[in-house]
Amino acid sequence: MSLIEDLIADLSSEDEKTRAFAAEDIACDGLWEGVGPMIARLEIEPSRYVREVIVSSLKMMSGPELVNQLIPCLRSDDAFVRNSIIDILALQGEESLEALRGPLQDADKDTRKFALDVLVQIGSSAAALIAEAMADPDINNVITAVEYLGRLEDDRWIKEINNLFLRSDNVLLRCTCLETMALIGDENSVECVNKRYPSYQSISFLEQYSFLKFVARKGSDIHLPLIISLMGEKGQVMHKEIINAIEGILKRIPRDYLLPELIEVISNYLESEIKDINKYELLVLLGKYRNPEIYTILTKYLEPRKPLICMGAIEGLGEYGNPEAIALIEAIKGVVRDEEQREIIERSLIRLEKLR
Amino acid sequence: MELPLEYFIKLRNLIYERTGISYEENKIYYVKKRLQQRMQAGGFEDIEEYIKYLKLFDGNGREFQELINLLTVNETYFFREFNQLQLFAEDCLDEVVEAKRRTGGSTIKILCAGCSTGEEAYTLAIIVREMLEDFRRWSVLIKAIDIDENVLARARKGIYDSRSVKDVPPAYLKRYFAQPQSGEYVIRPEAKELVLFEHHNLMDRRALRNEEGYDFVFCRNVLIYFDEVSRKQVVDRFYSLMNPGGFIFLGHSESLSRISSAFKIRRINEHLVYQR
Repeated sequence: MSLIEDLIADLSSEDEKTRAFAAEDIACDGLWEGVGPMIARLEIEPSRYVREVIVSSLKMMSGPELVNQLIPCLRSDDAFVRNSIIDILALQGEESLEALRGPLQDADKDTRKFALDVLVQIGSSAAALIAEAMADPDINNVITAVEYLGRLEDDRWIKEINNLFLRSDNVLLRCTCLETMALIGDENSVECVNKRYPSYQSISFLEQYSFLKFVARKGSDIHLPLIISLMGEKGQVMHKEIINAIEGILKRIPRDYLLPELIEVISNYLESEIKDINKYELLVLLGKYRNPEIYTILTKYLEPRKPLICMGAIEGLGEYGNPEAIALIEAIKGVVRDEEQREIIERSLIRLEKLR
Repeated sequence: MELPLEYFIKLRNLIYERTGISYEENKIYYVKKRLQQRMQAGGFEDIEEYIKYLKLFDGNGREFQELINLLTVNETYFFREFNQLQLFAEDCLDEVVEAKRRTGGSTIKILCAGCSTGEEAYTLAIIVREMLEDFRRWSVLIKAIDIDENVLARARKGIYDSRSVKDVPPAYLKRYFAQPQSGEYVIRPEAKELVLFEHHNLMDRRALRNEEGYDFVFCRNVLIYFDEVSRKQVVDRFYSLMNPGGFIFLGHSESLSRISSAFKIRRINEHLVYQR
């Protein structure tokens, strides 16, 4: 028997190592006749280890022959096989694009979805094909297409996405549109959102998360009262999204002073049960503004037993720039041993010393 | 440089997806500092722009690898990542030894992959000697491999400075190291004779095929230097040379979950371990 015949026979050996090594050798030596038997073996192989080796071996190969033999496996009932095939096809990059036109038109909606899963991994060159799926008869595939265009940050189809958002009755599609518009939206996206949600009450519970994500990227001061309302009502469950939304607006529209209502709600937040890391970022954020009451809030959290919160207060005080904080921070420095934390303290002290 | 939590999480997820290394939220300062260095080197002013570059435009993954190199300080010393060694010593080794006692086995084989200058391999030798009450009954082999002949030559000499042995418990330092002169520590034969250093390239598919019967594989903070496909191939190679029931140890922040599903995950005393 020839080498390739031996290796193909080895793929069915009783010994799992022999099967795995055969797959590896077929791929490493570029023996194309072995690709079909390897893919066939993948479907019936009982050993998890051998399956993993077959997949990594196929990942080492490339070319249209491989792509064409892999495409039918997108219909496999075995999730491991299907997901592996998606990864392998994605690694083929643009080589897979033309071949995926077929599965994108498949009668089975799941196969169309798996084709989209390959395309998004291929990247920007696949965006046009993904965009075509915004006209897919299955709503889940439309949602997937919108999500993937956002993930690729390709804004060429933003007009279509804005329209989908405005005219869709499907709340999940609207949520996805909002999150994609957050990433690649234009001025028109902001107008569409304001039009769709004239008031806080018009945003359904499911849409609130996505709305906040949108506001974090595209919102402005007109959205602040709405966020403050949400903080009061949903602050504990959506704190991360709310903080991101506030940070986003303040970052995009620079100012020296915060609205007093905003300071009040942030202050309440700091007293609540939200995670320390979120308190850390709020304290750093507060330090950027000049309202006199901020100094008192920051000094209140100089508590070394809660390192993250304490470091947030120290960073915030460094930013705030009141040299009176030097003595307080020096006292903390005396008890902190962690190298990274000591660096933060030093940085804040240097900053404040310059202002003395 | 500002690193809002949202972007820290994005970056953390990206690092986890690509390397299996996971950073807790309290590592935000650590990550921020190193990120700042890379952003300065690459002329990036905005974190969002930098993450976008890593995700969409860093085609050959060079910048991502630079960032990872900076985040994973490549240093080695005796008894590094002590908690993991404790888990090996007090739980996993015991489990393997007990199973062998029941079946009449008398060999223990450990593979130390990417052994560099030998600190980890000798640490394992010390631990095995200390933990096995009936050590004389056992035939122990610790095979330590690396691609770099220079580091292997240094490992074979077994001479270290005080920084390398800073975490060695004093009793072990006395028992397993000679100190011919101040600041120089030479590993004693009691530990040295258990370790065999060999030159191997983990990427050479045939190199490890004849190896078998390993009870433990240590490959800590090594896989981070491989790309996704190579990482998986290496882990598959480890699987093929291990005994059923054997344990594999990666670095404490590394995870196998995105690399291979062939190993079983077990929780032992709050630690996750991977077992063949």
